[in-house]
Amino acid sequence: MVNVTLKVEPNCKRILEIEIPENEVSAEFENQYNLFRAKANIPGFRPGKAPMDLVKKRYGDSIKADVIDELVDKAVKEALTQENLYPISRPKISNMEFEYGKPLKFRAELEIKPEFTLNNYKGFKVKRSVREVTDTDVETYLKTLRDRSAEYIPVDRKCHDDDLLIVDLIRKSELPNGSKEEKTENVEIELGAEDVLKEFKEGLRGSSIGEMKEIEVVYPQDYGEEKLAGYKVKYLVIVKEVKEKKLPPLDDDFARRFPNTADLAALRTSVKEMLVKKANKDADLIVRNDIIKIIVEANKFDVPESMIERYLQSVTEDFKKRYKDVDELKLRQTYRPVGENSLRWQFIYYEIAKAEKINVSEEDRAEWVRDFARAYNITEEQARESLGRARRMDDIDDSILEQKVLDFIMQNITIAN
Amino acid sequence: MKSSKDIISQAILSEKSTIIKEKENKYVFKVNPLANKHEIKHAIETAFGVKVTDIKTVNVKGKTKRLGRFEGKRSSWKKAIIKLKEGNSIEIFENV
Repeated sequence: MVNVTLKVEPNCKRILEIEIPENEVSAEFENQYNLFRAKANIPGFRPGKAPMDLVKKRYGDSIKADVIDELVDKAVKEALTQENLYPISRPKISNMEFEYGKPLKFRAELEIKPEFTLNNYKGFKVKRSVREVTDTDVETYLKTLRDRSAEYIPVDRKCHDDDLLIVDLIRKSELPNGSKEEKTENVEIELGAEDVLKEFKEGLRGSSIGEMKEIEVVYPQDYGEEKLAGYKVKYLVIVKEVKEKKLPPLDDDFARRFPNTADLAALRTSVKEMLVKKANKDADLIVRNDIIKIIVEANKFDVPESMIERYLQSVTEDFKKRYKDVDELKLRQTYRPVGENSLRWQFIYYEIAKAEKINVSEEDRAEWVRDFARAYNITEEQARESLGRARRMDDIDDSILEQKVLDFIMQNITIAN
Repeated sequence: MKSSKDIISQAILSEKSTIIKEKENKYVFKVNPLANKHEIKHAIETAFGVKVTDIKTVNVKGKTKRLGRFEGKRSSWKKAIIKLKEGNSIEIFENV
C-alpha cells in the first residue's frame, strides 16, 4: 500500500504526492540485492558466492537507481488504481526524496482524460439551406467547359485582349541570387487569363508578330515562384505568334463530346444535376459543422494541455513548411480555440459512441476501403496495402466512428429546411 | 626498517579468504617477497592497530603464460595469512 495525496488542477492535470513506506522500500532493496548477488561476477569469486557487502559496495549505486525506478513505477500504478485515474500521458516524476531507512517520497504529475457528462447531443434543431441552382449558374459552368476545350488558331494581325501570345522572354535584370540574363523560348501568355500579371497584359496590348517590347514587371510578394517574389524585373519580349482563342459553339455537337450525352438539352440537365448535387453536398457539410459546433458549445470542459500543445505544434510546423515568415505566437493564439474545440469534439464523439453503443465493425471498415479504392481507381487489395503501409488503419476507425456518430445524431435531431 | 606501506601491497579478496576470515579470523595479504614474518607482523600491527597471533607465509610462483609463440612468466609473489587475536578485525577494502 502506498500513501497518496491527490491534488486536482485545472486542464485535466492531477498531482499525486506519493509515499512508499520504509519496510516496502527495504524489502525491495533486499530482494534486488539477492537477485543481483546470484549473478554478480566479481574476480576471486564464483558467481553467486561473493559476500553481500562486497556486492553492495561494487554495484550499490546502479542497483539503487534500478530499485527506485521500479518502486516508483509500481507505486504510480498502484496510486492510479487507488484513485481511479486514467492518464493519457506518462507521469512526470519530481521532488524525489530518498534515504536508506526512510520512506520514499515523490511527486507525480499527470494528465487524465477529461471527465464530463454528455448533454444536449440530440433533439435540437439545425437549419439546412441548400443554395438554389439558377440557369445563370448552369450557363457559367457551360462557359468554363467551353473554355477548357477552346482551340487556338494562329492569326496575322494585332492581338486582341483575349488572344494567346507565344513569345520569347529575355530577362534583362540580374536577380539577387546572382543569376544573370536568361532566355526562355516559346512562352505562352494568355492575355485573357486572370493569373497573368497586369504589366504583361498592358505592355503587350495590341502587339503583332515580330514586335519587340521591353516590359518591367513588379512581382507581388506572394508570387508563386519564390526567387522572383517581390522583385522588379525587366524583360525583353519578342512576339513570335498570335493565336486567336476560339470557343467551340454551344450546340449539340459540343454536347456530344461528353459521355452519355445526346444533345445540348441533355448536357444542360446533367450540368444542373451535378450542380444541385454539389449544392446539397455543401449544405450537408454546413449542417455537419453546425452540429459539431452546437454540441461542442453545449459540452464545455477542459482539454489536457499536452494535447493542445501537440496540436499547436503540428499546426505551426505545417505553416512553417508552407510559408517563410510565420509569427508563431500569433498563430498559436488564433489556433488555440480551434484546437480546443476539435479535441473536445473528439472526446465527445467517443463518449457519444460509448453512450449509444456505436461500434465500428469489420464490415464498416471493408466498406470504407471499398469506397477508398473506388475513389482512387485501384483494387481493394492495393488500397488495403497502401493504407496499411501508411499505418492509417486507426485513423480510419476514427473517421468511420465519427461519421457513424454524426449519422446517429442526424437521425435524432430536427433538420429544418 | 621498511615501512608498512612497502611491505603490505594489497589484501586478497576471494572466496577462500572470505571463508577463513569468517571461520578463523584470518586475513590474507599480498606482501613484499623480501619481507620476513617478523617484518610483516610488525607492519600489520602498526598499520591496522591490531594484535597478530599467528602468521604463515607462502611464496607463490608466477605462472608461465604463452601468447602465441612468446613465452612469458608472471611475477612470483608472497602471500601472508595472518591470524588476529580474538575480537580484533580489519576493515578490508579492495585494492588497498
